[in-house]
Amino acid sequence: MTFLILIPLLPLIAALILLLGKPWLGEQGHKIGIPAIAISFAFSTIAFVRVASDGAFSISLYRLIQSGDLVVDLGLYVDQLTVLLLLLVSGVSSVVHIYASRYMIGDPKYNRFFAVMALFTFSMIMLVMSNNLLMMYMFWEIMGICSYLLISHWGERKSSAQAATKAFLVNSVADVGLGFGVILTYSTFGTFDIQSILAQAQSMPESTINLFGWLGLDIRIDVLTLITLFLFMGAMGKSAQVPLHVWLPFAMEAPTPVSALIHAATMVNAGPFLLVRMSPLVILSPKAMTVIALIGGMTALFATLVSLTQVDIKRMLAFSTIGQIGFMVMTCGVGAFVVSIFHMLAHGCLKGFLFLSTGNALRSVGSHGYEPSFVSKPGVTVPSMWPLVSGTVLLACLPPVLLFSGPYEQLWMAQSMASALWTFRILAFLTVFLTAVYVFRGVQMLFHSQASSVHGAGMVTDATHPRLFSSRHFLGALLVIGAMGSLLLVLWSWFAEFLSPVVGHRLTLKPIEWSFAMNPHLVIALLLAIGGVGVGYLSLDIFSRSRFRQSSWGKRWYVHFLNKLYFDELYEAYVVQPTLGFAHWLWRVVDREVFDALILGVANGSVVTAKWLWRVVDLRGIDGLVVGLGRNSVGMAGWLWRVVDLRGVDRVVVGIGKQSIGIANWLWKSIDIKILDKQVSRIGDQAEATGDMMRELEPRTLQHHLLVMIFWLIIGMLALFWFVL
Amino acid sequence: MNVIFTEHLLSVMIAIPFLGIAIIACVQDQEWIRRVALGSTMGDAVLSLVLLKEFDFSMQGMQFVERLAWMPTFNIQYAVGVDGISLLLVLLTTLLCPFCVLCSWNAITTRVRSFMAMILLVEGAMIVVFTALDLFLFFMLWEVTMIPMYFMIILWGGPQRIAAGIKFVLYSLSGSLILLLAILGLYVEGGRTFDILVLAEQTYSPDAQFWIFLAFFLAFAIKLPMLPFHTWLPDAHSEAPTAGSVILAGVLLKMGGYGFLRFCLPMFPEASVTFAPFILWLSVAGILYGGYMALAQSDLKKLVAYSSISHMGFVTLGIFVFNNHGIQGAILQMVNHGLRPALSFWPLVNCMTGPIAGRFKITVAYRNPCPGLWRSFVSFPWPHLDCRERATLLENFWFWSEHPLKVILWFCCPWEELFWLQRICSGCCNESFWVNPKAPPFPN
Repeated sequence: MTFLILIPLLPLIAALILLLGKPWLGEQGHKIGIPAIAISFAFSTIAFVRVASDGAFSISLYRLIQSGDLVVDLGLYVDQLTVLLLLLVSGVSSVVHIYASRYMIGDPKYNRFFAVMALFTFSMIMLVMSNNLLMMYMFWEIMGICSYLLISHWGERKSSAQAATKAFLVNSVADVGLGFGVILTYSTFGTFDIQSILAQAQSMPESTINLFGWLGLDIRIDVLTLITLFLFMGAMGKSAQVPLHVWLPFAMEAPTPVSALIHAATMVNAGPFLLVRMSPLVILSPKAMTVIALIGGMTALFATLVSLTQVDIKRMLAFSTIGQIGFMVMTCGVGAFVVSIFHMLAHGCLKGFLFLSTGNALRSVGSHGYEPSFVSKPGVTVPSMWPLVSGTVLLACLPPVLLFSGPYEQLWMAQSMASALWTFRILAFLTVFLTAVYVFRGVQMLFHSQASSVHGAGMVTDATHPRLFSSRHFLGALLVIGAMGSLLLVLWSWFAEFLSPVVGHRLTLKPIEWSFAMNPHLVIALLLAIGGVGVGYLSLDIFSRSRFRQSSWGKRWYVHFLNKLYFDELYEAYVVQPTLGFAHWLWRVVDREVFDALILGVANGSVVTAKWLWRVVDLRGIDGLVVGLGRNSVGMAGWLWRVVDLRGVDRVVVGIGKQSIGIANWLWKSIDIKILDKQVSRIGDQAEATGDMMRELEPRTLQHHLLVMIFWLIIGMLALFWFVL
Repeated sequence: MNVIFTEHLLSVMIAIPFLGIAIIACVQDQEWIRRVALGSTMGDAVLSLVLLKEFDFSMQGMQFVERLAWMPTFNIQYAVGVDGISLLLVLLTTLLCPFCVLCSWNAITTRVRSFMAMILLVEGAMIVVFTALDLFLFFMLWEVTMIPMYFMIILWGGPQRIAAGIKFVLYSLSGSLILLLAILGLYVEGGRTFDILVLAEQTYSPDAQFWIFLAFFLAFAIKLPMLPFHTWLPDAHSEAPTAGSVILAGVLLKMGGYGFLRFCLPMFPEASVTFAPFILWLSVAGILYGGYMALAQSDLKKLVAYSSISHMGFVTLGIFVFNNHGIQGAILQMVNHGLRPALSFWPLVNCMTGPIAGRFKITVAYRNPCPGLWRSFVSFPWPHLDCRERATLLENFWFWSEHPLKVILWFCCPWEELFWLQRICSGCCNESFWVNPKAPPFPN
């Protein structure tokens, strides 16, 4: 099975070659991208066959982190859910790649486009194949980056760059929740491995967590509920559920193939996939499931209402995706995980088809696809609308057929009370009807624009933009899709059986009842859908003249929904601007005027202190002291010399000398001459010499010694005085 | 690989940059000066890969240890060695420096010789800092790293370079002074030796631990930089030439984190525990604060600087949660953060126009969108790495305590990254990105 690593590896290799080999490739990116994805699709088929025959298997790659008890092994896990998603992702992606190889001709960033598309596909493939939550989280984030790069493909236009930023930001906010979920899962179960988490969850004792303990509150929340809600928050971002749906309509700034990829195969499917992947854990928490179902239902209803009012077909399709994903989320919330996946597959095929054909139609009428309305030029023929219409009808009829047909009707009862069940059922009916209305209305606006109130002119084909693919190709593709869809419908019970090991509880299926067409709910839903198609067909005429449209009440609601209930404006005013404003305030006031000013203050203060020290202490104090001491010493020395030395010592010495001479003279006169003339005369000579020497020597050395001694005496006295007394 | 070479591998690695400086001093031709600088940095990079290959991951403790008495009177020796932490940071240093030489290849035209010498000097000094086993050696080379950075800023910097350089050097010097105090205190308390391995095995009295830890903490917090001591970084960052910014963000900041790991935790465990709540709060505040600051910037390099402050907050956060994952996450974060801003500057160099090579106003980016920039986000795996460490770290944070700020912490993470992305790749600025205006016509 190891060769199945190639399923994710081939797109990655293609992306790397395209990234690094950009200078040498020229406009040849598709020649690497398409085969890589197509072979990946082929391998996915092999994986599907393997799983269908042998069941789930896993491929371990390498040990990513080992730190203490935290061990993260990178590995691939391929089970029934994975192979279905693999088929969808690689299949739709290869179709989109082929489409883009012609759609993007002449684009300056041709190879970059294919590189990021391949990377995008790679990350989605890895997301569905990863066997642990951490890896899933990483690829979840990489997908965010790729979506950023693709949406900002025409980033020279500001709106495109802004749309990309918005997508990334909203997804980041949601990813915070996902990250919390992953961390909380780890701290609860001690592992990131999904299968062992799911196995442990079954036998997990009831445990709660005190989330607001630090506030002194004692609100205990069930851990599983919390995990599910956190994970669902991540899913809400990627799958554009109601409070976090704002990025998806703007993501239409991307080139049409990217939109097709995002809506059909990659980004938005990640949310329901995550819920189904974690379904054994999700069903353990009825509260979280109720929240999921409510948000899904609200999203579905809201998106369908909004898309009724939109005039831009791409935007309408975006809201239709939001609505359909809302359906999937709602079905997850009521416990019908298999339905959700089935819906996802069918929706993926159909939505991819719708996007590509819409792009084709828009391109063929001369619009690049990012004009806010349908541009049509007079005098050109209308491309055949029937493939698109058929696809639309399929899309409109898909939810009722899925939701209300047969065996999984019981699933609705799995979790909820009867009243909740009816709420969701009514929600579903309403949404089914409205979906049919808007989808058909959109198609009609595109191709019957003479009926449109927006543009009076007929639909035209621009001669300078030859149609990329003829309608026959689309018809063929549609037939294939339709055949596959009906095949799947026929094989429904097989499908449910196939997926049952994956979802939380093994389905107890009734034997196949071919009478399920008689199911009243299915009949009602189908009738509603067909009625919706009819209303949609007529709506442009009827609604423009209807009393509802004329009434102020109707107008008000119309405006509200036209502006998407002002979600963007509210976020702008209450989240984005305050945050930016706070950041600027923090920077201007706190960083500059507190921290920086503090440091500057310390520096300037040091300089000022230094100057003061220099002027006051150094110049006046120490220097003055030293100079004063010096002066005083000199003065004292002068005084000493004058008073003590000259008057006292010198006089004494001179006196002694004179006395000695007198004595000598006396001795000489009285003793020497008379008694010891000869010897004594020598002594006398010596004495005289000594006296001379004394006179010369004495004053100098003595003077110095005395000076120093006195000076130190004074200092010592002062010090003694200072310290002792 | 013969044994003698392996034994002296670290010394050879340290010697190569200085040898490069000596050669550069003799070479006249500017082109050859650049080539010699590139050659010596590349040589070091190759040797560091050899080091990685020869490193025995199953062994604990220091490897490739070399000892040589230097000043025996004070027990000072030349002692180097690597363990797991050092190895990664040495790798980071040696792998980034060729980038620095390359990105100043054309950007620096004046005084090429001195500039290249500065890069080599800082490289050599940083390798010693990360491998030193002797506190004195560590301190000396810690000081040496400051000198080339200072000259890089004031000689090749932007218009405010003098002020920025002075701020940088004064701030760092005051940090170093405190570090010196701490080292002397450690010398006295730890039995008059500078040997880090010996010092790490001593036990210190709680009082000594408290004061020496505080001094170490202040010194490293200035280098890292942590919240109240961060203001030198944006100035230095925005005024330094690109190579300087890369070294600054890539490696110099990591010296602080390395210091925490090498000194604070092993030597003063009790004091670390005492200070941990305070440091954790400071880290959290720094993460949030840096993120908000980055949001408010219009100068790209300042934005990077503030986001560095924010990201280095994760390092201290990881270190002071005191568990294995946290510390590993912190090391990983240091390496990742070293690579991330550094490699994002790489394509930025190609886009820089105008008279001052170091300054890159975002408004310029808007007028001339950078075609190559997106590649930096794809071609290196930052989301991958970033998420991993983020997950690892915060998982610990979750364990650490029931912390009030953890929710906010998570919410702030994507913001500045996002704005960075938006501003670089698409160049929108100062206008709301949220409400989509009327789409302007596509320029053909």
